[in-house]
Amino acid sequence: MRPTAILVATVAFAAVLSVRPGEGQTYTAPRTAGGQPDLNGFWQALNTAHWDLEPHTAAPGPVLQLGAAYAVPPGQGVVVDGPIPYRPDALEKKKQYAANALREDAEVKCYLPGVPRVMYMPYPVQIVQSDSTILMMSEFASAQRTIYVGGKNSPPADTWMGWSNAQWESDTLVIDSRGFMGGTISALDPEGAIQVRFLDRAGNYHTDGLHVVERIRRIGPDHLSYQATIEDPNVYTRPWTISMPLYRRLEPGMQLGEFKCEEFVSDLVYGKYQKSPAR
Amino acid sequence: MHVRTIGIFFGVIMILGGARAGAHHSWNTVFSEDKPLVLRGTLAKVELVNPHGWIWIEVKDADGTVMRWGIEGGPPNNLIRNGITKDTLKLGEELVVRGYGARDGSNLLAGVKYERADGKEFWLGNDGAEALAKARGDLK
Amino acid sequence: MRRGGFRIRVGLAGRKDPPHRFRRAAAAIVAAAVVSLTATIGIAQNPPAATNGSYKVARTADGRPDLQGYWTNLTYTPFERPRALANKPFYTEQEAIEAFNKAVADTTDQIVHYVNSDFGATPVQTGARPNPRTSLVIDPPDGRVPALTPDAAKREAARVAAARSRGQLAQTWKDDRGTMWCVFHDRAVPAVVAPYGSNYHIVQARDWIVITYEWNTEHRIIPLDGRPHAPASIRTYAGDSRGRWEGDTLVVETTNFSPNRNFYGSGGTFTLVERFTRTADDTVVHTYTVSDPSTWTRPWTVELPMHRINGPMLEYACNENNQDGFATLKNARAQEEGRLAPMDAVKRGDAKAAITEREERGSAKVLGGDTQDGNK
Repeated sequence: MRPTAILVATVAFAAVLSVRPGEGQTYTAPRTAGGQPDLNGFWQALNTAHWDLEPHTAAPGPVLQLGAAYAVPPGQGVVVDGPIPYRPDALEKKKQYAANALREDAEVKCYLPGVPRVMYMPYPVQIVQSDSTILMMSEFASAQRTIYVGGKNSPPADTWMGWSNAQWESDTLVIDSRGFMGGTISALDPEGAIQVRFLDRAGNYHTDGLHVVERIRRIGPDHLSYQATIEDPNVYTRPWTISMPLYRRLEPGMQLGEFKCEEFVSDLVYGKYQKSPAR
Repeated sequence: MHVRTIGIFFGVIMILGGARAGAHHSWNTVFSEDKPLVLRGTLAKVELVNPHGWIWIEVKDADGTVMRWGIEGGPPNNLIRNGITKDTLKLGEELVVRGYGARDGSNLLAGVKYERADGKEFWLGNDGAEALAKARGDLK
Repeated sequence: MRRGGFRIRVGLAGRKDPPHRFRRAAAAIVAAAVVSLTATIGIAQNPPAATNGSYKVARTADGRPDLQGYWTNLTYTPFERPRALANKPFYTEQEAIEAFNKAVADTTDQIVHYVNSDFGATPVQTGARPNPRTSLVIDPPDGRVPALTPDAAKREAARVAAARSRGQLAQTWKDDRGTMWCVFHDRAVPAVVAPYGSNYHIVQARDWIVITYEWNTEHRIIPLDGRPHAPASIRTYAGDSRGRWEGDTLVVETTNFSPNRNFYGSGGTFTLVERFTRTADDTVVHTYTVSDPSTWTRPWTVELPMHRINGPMLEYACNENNQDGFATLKNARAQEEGRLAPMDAVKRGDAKAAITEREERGSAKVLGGDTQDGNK
């Protein structure tokens, strides 16, 4: 490995995209009627983070018959301070989960994708913003995040999309999220159970120890800067950060489509206990 | 004025055009009233999730073997609105739960009565309505 | 009035389930609700107006009526009016309170399941209030869903027959209502009140309003910018909603429902028009009209008062937690293969009394701890 080169690349990458409040801002976002920077709209990532957060070369996909349509495209990665700092025992688990991804990955079963994964899946995310509450809704499985602006409560219970408290630091929305389910509930049949939560299709994962801090700000009329710092002492030796632009969906009349993928996977999930598929 | 009351129903027992009548899940596909059980154990895990909250208790059988039993309960939203959270339930506390076991013999119970060591009800109990009036937490 | 079932009162030495606490507490809620009842009666008898009586609607920073927050439409009012009350669309205030109290007292739980009131999951505990109306259907004047057209009646009969022919045991996940609801919870829209959890979270921005329903976290994302509906070929479970303000009333028109829907006999070919008006600090009146000439002989209208409740509304991850769905299918196969005794019939009654009675007569198996008396 060439640590110096990686360090240089990382710093340069970070400098491009990790915009800190008060540092070299040239764009002032329009305000909502309530006076907040306006994040309303449809936003989508245009990278391969959902395949693999780390730099990756192209590779065959897991299903031969899907051929090039589901092969792994190459990607430069979105980790600012990588490689992802796994604990040695967790890295071994990652390899096992990755080898069993079709069974272990929540995405396959149309389970809620969690945070930050929902923000870079290849589906639009709609932000609807009021002064006290910001909703971030993905087209995927109708996943919904409720962000409590000025919220201070601890999570009353664990959820798949986490519990998010946020505040504005100048024009940057800083979201602090905890209370993530680490997998399916204990009573669930093994046919539906997943043991950990994937952050991407490559098997990078987190447990219920996840803590995420995101920083989101407008950097132009049609772009957001999105960063997430990920911490999970069960898996990683230190926090680490991803960074990427999010692009506004500009189509007139843009709206989220209905993608109730639960319907598409139920024969897969319940198939063992059915005499024949439902469809 | 005397009103002839004709069955003030729950307002919800209706046959929707397409759906089958009954509860959102028929408990009787999973549990059986031929298996009434009383479980005495200690609270080991709490999963406050929809549609059913679950608690897991550790039950020691006659020869000292520890078994884990999962107890399916009700929805957590009103518990949370009344101030019960994952942090307010004390792991390790003693519980007695009465209910009905799973048809297939697995260690699962549909919990009907939950009782703490001091005899008090574990969830809101019938005081739920009073708790609602009292509890005005700052949860948004 | 007891509705079927049976009620066993067992005297437990030293401890008796106190049935009165619940009713006392419910009465306290009723007393507090009388003021709101007046507001509801006011709305029921007059069409909502921009300035209704003395209430001045709170506004968002965009100047629109503020409908935001957490609301319940849980109620003890039946969806359709009992036939004996056909000519009585309204109770007096006193009758409404009596009907409410009676409904609260009449609540019985399924004999083998968790007890709703332990979880605060009864309507009164969640925030339901007396309703002066005798049914949620307010038009036609008899308070009942209108008749199906002859073609629709044939269609429905065939569908019901086909469903029955599949038998009682679930063959596929589509035979399990709970699992179907994990795809789309159809009580979200049009609104049909559930026994519990019929709660909403509303968030407003200038051009969008989001109404999130507690079951399955079904969200309806409604644009307010005057755009046209989606093309007719796009048909979805939740339909395609378009909202606009008429004075201080939010009007939402929804079309393009999926043919997989079946709403009171209509296979997704109905049009839904809803009106939301905030009539008090803690009340929003929600009315809706559905029409489908290929299904019903006339349109019909429902009114559902929504009352403010505390948050939060916890995420409802459904298929992720669908233990019952797996068990239903697995047990159906086991029963077919003779490995499992048939399901019990569903009985209603006092679940706590029944389990206590089973324990008293020694038919409950006891596991764990010592089995000496001390916990009866």
